[in-house]
Amino acid sequence: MGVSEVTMGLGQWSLQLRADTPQSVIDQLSGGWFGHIAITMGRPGPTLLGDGLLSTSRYVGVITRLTLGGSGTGGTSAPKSIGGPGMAFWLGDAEDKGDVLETAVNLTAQPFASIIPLLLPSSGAVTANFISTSVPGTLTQSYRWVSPRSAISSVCSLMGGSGVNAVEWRVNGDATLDAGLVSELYSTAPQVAIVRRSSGADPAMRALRGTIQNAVDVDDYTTRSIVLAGSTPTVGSADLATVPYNDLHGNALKLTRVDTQPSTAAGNATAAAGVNLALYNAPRNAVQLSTDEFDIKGTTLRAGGYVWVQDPDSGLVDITQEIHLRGEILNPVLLRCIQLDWPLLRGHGAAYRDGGGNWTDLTDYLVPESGPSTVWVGATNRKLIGQ
Amino acid sequence: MAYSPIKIGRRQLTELPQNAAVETVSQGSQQPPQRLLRIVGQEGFPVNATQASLAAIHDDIQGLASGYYLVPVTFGDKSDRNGYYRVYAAQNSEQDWNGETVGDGWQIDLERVGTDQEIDFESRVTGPAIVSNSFGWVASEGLFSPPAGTYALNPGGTALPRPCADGPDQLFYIDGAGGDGTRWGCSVGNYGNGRCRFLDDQGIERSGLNFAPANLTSWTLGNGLVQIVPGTAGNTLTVQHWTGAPAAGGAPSWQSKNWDLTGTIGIVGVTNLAGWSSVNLLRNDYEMVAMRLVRDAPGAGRVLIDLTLRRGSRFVEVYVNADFAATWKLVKHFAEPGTLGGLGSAALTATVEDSAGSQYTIGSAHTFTADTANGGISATGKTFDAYIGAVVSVPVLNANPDFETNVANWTPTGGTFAQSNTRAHKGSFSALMTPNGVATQVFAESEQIPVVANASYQASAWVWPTSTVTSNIGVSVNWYDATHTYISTTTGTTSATGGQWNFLTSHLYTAPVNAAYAEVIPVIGGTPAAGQLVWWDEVKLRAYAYPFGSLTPAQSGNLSTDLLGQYAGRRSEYVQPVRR
Repeated sequence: MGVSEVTMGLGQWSLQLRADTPQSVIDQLSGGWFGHIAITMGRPGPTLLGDGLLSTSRYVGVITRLTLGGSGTGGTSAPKSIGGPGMAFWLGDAEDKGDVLETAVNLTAQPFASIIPLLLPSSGAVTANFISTSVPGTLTQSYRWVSPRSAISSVCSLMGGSGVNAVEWRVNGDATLDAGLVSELYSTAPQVAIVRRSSGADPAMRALRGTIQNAVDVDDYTTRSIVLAGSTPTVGSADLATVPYNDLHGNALKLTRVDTQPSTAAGNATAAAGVNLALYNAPRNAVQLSTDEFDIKGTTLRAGGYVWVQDPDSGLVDITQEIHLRGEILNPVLLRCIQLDWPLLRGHGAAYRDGGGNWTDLTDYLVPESGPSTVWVGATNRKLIGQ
Repeated sequence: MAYSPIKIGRRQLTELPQNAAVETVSQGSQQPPQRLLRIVGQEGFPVNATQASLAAIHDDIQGLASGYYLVPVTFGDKSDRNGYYRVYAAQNSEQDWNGETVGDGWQIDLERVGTDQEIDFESRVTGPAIVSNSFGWVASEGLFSPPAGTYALNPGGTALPRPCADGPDQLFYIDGAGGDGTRWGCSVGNYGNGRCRFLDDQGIERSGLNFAPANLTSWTLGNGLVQIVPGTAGNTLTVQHWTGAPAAGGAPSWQSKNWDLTGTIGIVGVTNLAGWSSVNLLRNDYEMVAMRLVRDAPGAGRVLIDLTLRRGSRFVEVYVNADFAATWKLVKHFAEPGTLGGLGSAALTATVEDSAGSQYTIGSAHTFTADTANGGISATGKTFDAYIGAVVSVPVLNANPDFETNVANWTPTGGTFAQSNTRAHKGSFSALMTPNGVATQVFAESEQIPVVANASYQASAWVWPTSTVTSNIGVSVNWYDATHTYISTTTGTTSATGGQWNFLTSHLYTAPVNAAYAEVIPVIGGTPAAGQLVWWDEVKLRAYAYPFGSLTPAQSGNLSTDLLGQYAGRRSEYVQPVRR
């Protein structure tokens, strides 16, 4: 299955180990819950790099699943597999379990840079790396009985704008947190262009070719957002300035979304309503690209980064943008890579780190995968549902 | 057993008739059902191919399939199967019997698209009206040019012709037709007219992208109007333009201009960008071809030189893209002075036309420094964009510019104006102007020529005075309104060296707002003495630029400002077949 990275999400990973993997290695993995896997290009060399792998690897994940046993063909053992979520797990898992804030964190007109450290796990599972001092405004809010992931995501939503001024967080492979403006976390000058016909590299741009599927829906379209904030509750609302769609009788479409947020401070009800409206006030546009380009993840493309996408047949053209790529002038749409799925191909390496910081090279036991990589891109101010 | 020729796209092949062409329809889940035609053939040395060409055939067949190209197919023995297909699959195998005989057997599966009676072509055009630029351009000409012989263009427009080496004039449009979704019909036989193409060192027109040219310094990129070849005179590139009917009255031909493309690279200094290390195609479609030259820049990185050519275009687009910043320059290998003009003065055009009546014209969408003395433009950065074109055979508006028969249509004042065979700049005759010795100005007026108000015109002439004239000699223009009433005179006097031919040009004159006619007037002032003889030849008035947005019947779309406007309005085009 490989790796699935999701911007501001848990993501997941899995890899298969050969049936003849030494039992000693299996025993280590069996007892290695919540240990880490580092995936690299080529053999990782953990003996040499040690924990340096955490910050230099292509991907680091947490072991929470293990499949062992079974029989393969000819009486042999079946391959084993291990898997789990990405490093965001340490802020809170999919069920919002984690180092829950049991003591209320009460914020009164506090700036972003001073808020985030207060919400990090008290256990020290994730420490601060880059915390932006450029996020404008202050926040008055209280967080309790929620995971750090939920709390930090809430702060980012309430204090962020749209596009490159949105505020996000990212957990790095070494369990450090970066939080700030999108323009601070990711390069807004794309180095990758996804096009239907041509692939190759220019000095400053790489073109990826593949099949493009553009899925558009309005399943979550909202014209009015209401947030019931606090315990009383306090009603906050936000409306679209203009609604371009009508019902059967010619009346302006009315789709009101009501969201109950007891942990949101009453004073933030309107802002929270605005955040929800911004998420759902336009057709949801998700472009899926499948490409056979090997190792598309790297310095050129990562989840959260910006890409150019041009596919006139799918309507993915923006004539206000212009790039010169491989002998042609293109007018692509600027989108963000929201999710990046890629297989572990022959040539990748992996290493296991146990809770004590001991490393084991798993490269010789990996079962290489095949198939395309998939890049999910969305508009800069939209998020995929469920992430 | 008879072999049968078959042409698949650009490629002429030999079909083996003893293997019946099998056509099947696959229902399955494919909608509409695929209709596949399997054909088999063989090329061989020494029967119908050279050893070197067999490698090209092998690669091109595979390349057609890998790109799923749309191709016109013409059968030698079953013309009822002629039509448009996509190359669905291909396989071929090469057998070499110790070099004595080499055979390449092939099998191609063609997916039928349809005949030219049921298929329309739709041009998918993408891009804004004006590309990004540094000059604040507010107008452009979106050039659109389907194959010559196209019919039922929708939406239509005013077709303008360009003489093409393929035979029929290549028609192009700068108004109306050419927007996204423009549809047109075209017979299989005409589909290749005016196509963009890449020819290798053997002169073979290549298909697909998956091949390596055998010779990096022997190839041709062309479209029947303009072609580019590697320089052979110490220059980087040679750009050739098809003149159609040249002013000299000779046969149509390719007229060459040698160009240097250089970069000032680090401590190496000015470096000619010839000597590239690789050549490959980025795109190879009938409507557009793009190729890439990779030039090593030791110690600095690599330089990519992309050359792009579009169907119907009279210029080649050059894009230099490097890992590092440098000063890039495109300049005539042999100096040929130029004059800046066009929107934002973004075009540099030869001041004097060449022997074929053409003028080079180059320009860029981004700020550059002009070398007007030598004919070049330069800019500093990691990228550099430019186009190399030619103003070809712009019609002379006045009658009898060369005086080869007589001096009809010319009315002298202040002296005589008679045909002379004493000397000529072109042909055998010129016109001798003899002052009467008392007139302050001696001149000859042409007939009144229809002109367009607010348009720009260029008046020019070759002049041979007996003695040097330090001023007061030149070519003027009288303007008249629709009732033939005189409006004004635009003068452009200069100097001329005695005892030799001098080229005089008025540069650019703008017709007054109410102008409808003009006279071109060779003149010498300053009360010339009776012995100050002046021979005149090639006295011409030609259009230079028409106001954008006012397409008139007289507009050619071929002036230097037109070419600049077409560069400003260039867009990406892909052609797709659709059922009518």
